[in-house]
Amino acid sequence: MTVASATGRAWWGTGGLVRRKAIPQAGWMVLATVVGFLVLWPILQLQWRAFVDGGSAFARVLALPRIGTTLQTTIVLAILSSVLAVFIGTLLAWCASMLPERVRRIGEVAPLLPLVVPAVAAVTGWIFLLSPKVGYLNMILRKLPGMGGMEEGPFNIYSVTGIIIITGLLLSSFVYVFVFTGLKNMGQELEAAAAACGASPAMRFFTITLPLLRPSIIFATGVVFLLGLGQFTAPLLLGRTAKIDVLTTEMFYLTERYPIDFGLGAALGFPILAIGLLVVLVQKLALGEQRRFVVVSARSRYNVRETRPWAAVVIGIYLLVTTVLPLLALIYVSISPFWSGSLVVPEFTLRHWTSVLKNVGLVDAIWTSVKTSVIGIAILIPLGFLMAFALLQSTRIIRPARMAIDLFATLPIAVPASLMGFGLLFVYSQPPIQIYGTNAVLVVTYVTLMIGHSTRLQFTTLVGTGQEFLEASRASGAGALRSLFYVLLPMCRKGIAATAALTFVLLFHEFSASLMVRSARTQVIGSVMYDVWAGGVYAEVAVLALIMVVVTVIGVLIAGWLGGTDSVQRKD
Amino acid sequence: MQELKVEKLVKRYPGSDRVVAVNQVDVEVEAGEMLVLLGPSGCGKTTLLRCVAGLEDAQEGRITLEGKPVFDASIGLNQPTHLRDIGMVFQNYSLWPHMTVQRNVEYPLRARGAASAERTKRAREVLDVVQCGHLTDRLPAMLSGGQQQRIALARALAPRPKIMLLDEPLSNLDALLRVELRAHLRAIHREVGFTGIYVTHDQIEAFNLGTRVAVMNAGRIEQLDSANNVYERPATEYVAKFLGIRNCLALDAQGGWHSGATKLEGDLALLDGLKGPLQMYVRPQSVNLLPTSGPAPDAGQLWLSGARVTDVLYSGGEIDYVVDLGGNTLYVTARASAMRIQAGDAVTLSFSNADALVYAQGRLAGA
Amino acid sequence: MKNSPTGHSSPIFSKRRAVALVAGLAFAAAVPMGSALAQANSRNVPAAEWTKIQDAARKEGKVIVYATMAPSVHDRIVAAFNAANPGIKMELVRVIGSAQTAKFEQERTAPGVEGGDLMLTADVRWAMEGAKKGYLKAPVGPATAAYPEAFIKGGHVALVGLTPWVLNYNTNLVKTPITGYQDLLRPELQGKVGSTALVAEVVSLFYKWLDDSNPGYLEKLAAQNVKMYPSSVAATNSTGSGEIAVNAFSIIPIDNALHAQKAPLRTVIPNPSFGFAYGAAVVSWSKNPNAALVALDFILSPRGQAALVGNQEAGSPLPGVAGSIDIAKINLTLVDWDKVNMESVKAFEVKWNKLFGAR
Repeated sequence: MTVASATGRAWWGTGGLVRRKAIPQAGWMVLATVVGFLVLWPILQLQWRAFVDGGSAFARVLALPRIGTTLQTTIVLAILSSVLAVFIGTLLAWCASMLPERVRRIGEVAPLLPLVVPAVAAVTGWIFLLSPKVGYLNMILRKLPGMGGMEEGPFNIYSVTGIIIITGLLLSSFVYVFVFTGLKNMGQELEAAAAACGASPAMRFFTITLPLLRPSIIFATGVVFLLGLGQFTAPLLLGRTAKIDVLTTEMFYLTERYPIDFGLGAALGFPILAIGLLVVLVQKLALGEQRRFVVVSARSRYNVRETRPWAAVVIGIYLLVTTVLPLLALIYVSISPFWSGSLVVPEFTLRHWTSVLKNVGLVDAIWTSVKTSVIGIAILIPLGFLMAFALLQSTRIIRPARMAIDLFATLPIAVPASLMGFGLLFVYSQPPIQIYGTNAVLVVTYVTLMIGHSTRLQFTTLVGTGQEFLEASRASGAGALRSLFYVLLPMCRKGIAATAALTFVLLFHEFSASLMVRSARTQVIGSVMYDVWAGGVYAEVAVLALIMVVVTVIGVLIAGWLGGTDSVQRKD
Repeated sequence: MQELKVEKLVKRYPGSDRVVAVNQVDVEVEAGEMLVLLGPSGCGKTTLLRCVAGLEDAQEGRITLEGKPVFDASIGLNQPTHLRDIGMVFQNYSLWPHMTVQRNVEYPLRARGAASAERTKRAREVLDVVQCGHLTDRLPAMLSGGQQQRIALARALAPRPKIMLLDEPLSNLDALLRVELRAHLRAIHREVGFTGIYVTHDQIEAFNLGTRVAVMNAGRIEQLDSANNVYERPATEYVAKFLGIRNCLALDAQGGWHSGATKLEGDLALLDGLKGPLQMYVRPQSVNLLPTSGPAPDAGQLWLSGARVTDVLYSGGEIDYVVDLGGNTLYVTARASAMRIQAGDAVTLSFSNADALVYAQGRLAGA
Repeated sequence: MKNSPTGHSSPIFSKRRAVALVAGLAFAAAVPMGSALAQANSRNVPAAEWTKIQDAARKEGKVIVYATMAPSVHDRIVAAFNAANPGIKMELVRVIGSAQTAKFEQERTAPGVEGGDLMLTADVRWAMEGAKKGYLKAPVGPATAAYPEAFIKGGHVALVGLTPWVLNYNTNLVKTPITGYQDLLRPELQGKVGSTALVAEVVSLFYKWLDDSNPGYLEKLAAQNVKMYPSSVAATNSTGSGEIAVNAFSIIPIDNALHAQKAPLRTVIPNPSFGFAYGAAVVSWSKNPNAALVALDFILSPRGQAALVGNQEAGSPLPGVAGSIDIAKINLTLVDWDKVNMESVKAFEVKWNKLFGAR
């Protein structure tokens, strides 16, 4: 097709046209391809192995001992823990919206504090508290009047119930974030209108608040269900002694044998993957009907709201259970000579701290964690920003590229970290890209795991920034790059810093995938903590857990400082 | 019988002990009356309304609805909003997006435990009153602004509450709709006869809809009177300024009343017994422009000579003249007529002494 | 002759049997290895050659060891080596059970990984098979030449640290002393017995020995509702804390760590006892081959052996090593790797899984 323009030039115009139109599109296609490869390559390769040889891997799955129970435990854990998480998370969000003025700022951030304590640490803390015989909490409870001389319990954390409750508590923070954001966006006026119509608080909650929160709750339920399905940490640490297994722990045990039966692992992971894709699809469909819930009201001018003092108490109890008690247990054990199983206060010692800090392997692991997390963020933030930018309505990008990027940003939710880790181990320990045993495989793992989160979080930031500022910049004569650096990025600073902080926390705590891809000498703190735990030196486990918490807090504070105040508590 | 009685209500802004949102307000609303709270943003009118609704808590005072106290700071009584039997219309309509119009309007009846058939019937009834009966199955997202506001009104009226509270309901609508709905609202008030408090910053709405108007300033009521009286005789300079009475002459009594260097001439009876300095306010519509060389003004008129027209602005059927009187800028609004006055002309300003509002120390002098 | 896991338990224990044991091992080792003699000679390298190896080792500067022993043993070995070999740094990573095998195999096929150079493994069978496939380098050096031939399997895998498996129990919870495996069947210990899951082949061999030497015992033990732990350190720590009362499977160095902390723990060496030796070998793909050879030679030297055995924690094949356990006294039967049969082990593991349910 040759269309001569008015000046007689050919349709491809001058170099300027190519530069302005074709190169950006080529850039988007490259981006989509790179991210697509990152995300799809491990999963597709791995699942291929499950079906090779006419699906013999599936036959091997069925031959595993007690596979039926394992499957059942996996599903029951997923369902019950997500139900618990949604219930607790929604309750917390509702309470946070009713906090009295004085405690409002702390109280709104408080339910996020458990995220600072890595899952491994929290579970270990809970082991110290609720081991049937020698858990400290159990021992104290047994001494209460009316407990009638029990020798064990009353609580046993090494049980399916224990795993469900711990997992539910661990996941509730995620639900809180989604639901609380939904509540804030909803504003106070609709509930005020209901009150003015004579509705009691209970009626308001069930007829107005909950239905309007449905999109947030549905989304949160989907995310948390998938997290529960792929849950690895709690079943691994709590299930072994009680002979409880789930699909992901079975996959992990495969990596400890040689040769690693990747096909079997892929077949084990297949149901999780299938369910994950299904849930993601259902979510997209269920939330497509968004118009019902377009909140038809301008933002309220008024900040005064109905407050209830007991809301703070509820949040306080939650913090106590999920954060304070386990941390106390960890500190106590880390400075006790050994886990003594008695309430007699021992002579405290710093021996375990010095032993850990002198252990070259452990200290190396800590540094590797920090290094790989930081490098991971350095890649994830720009990459995620580009992808988020590509998803904006106002960006000119060819439809297939945009759809591909949207897909690659969503797909990782469907794949639990442990399964992704297993796949990453598979593809990167053989040609063509053999980076197993180096820090590179850790960085690639982290980027693959988090690219979806990074994109979505920055997309929210970009959308919230308001297109008009970018447009004003362009109208003032600034080119794309100048607008980006002088207008868009500074305005998004807080959002980007919040994304970086959250990503740092998630990466530094990463346990499931790291445990799969690590090698004997490239360890991160999560995986090395598992080794120490399996090796039974619990006091050192406690020390490592506390180090994880401290480093996480420092990382979050740095991100907050870089982003300006309030970057952790995003204001709307 | 008073539907509502507010006594010595005080509400302070949170975190500030000096800035008071509602400052010792006393007001009563009679049955069937529409009391308008009028004032600029920040004067406390909405806060007062929300205190009556129970959506905000005052620190001192008492609120009584139909003889029963719902709020009394001295004994710690604070009945929650949902038990006060009110109907409230919000500036942002606040229709619930996940419910149809029918269910929105039925909601207050549900909350009061009405039976299903009764609810349906009453909702239909009140939707007909606002002329939205054909919209029962729509979702709010599919309605126009005007429709939403009418349905919000219907929802508030449905349970026949003791008192209706309207918080700037027309502010979010465009000009034409506002006029239309204002008339509609007036008609409904006449027809249904509800008792209400209406908050607005728009004086036309206030005078159109209000039985009585309360002009508020920094948490206090400056003037509470019939709409007519507030319009004709604003009690303080603040009210006069708020009503847009732009012309202000500073008068002093040195050797006869003067405004600056200009002598005030004519029937000065209304200034008898008053000591300067005084502020005299006159509406632009009440001022006549006379050519200097023309005949003298009639009896009962006051006039000032030696003014000069600096600008002439046409706005459809009216002409606005900007006039300079010894350095003081005054405005005259006149019908477009045979008067051929142009910028630069020397003119005499005259107005009836009945149209002159004289303020001494900020308050209206004389009866 | 009691030299394999499939032998019977005999009530007659004597020194003669122990000597016969060692001789039998030597014989068993010598028979399939036709070139054993030739290899014995090649381990005796000329001094000049050995000096070259030592120089090259110092240039490499470090040796990475994957070891599966108790942490305290590792500390001793590293300290002793580093003191005796300035210029070469030993980095020891504790990788236990079959995970060590998996790691080495992965590193074998992954280029560019700086992985383990020297193994101290409990999976000796795998190491021996690896030797046949050329995975290992033959050990050389003066100490190696002096090491008993019978304890260098296939000319490539040195057996070190003859370790008996022991029982331990919490003295606060168990008042009547435990003397042997039969005591674990006491009714009051129901639900209070712990052990280690099948994390390594030697563990399977232990249970198999229990089963073979006392038919029906495993079934009775399973009825006690045994708690399975992922390592013997974990199980022993749980005994020390009182989470369980008795641990069926531990080794002395692990117990000693808790004794040092004054935990209420008592160690019982059963009689007859079963045990194993660790295999030490250098991998052929090692990035620091000379340092690794020097390190292995050190371990086989009296100083290295002394570091390994500590204070009565294990036995050494070298005579006169200070602190070595007198294995004759405890009637120790060691695993004979030549006789270990993969299929029978796998079949036994299936049976074990049915009984004890965990992996």
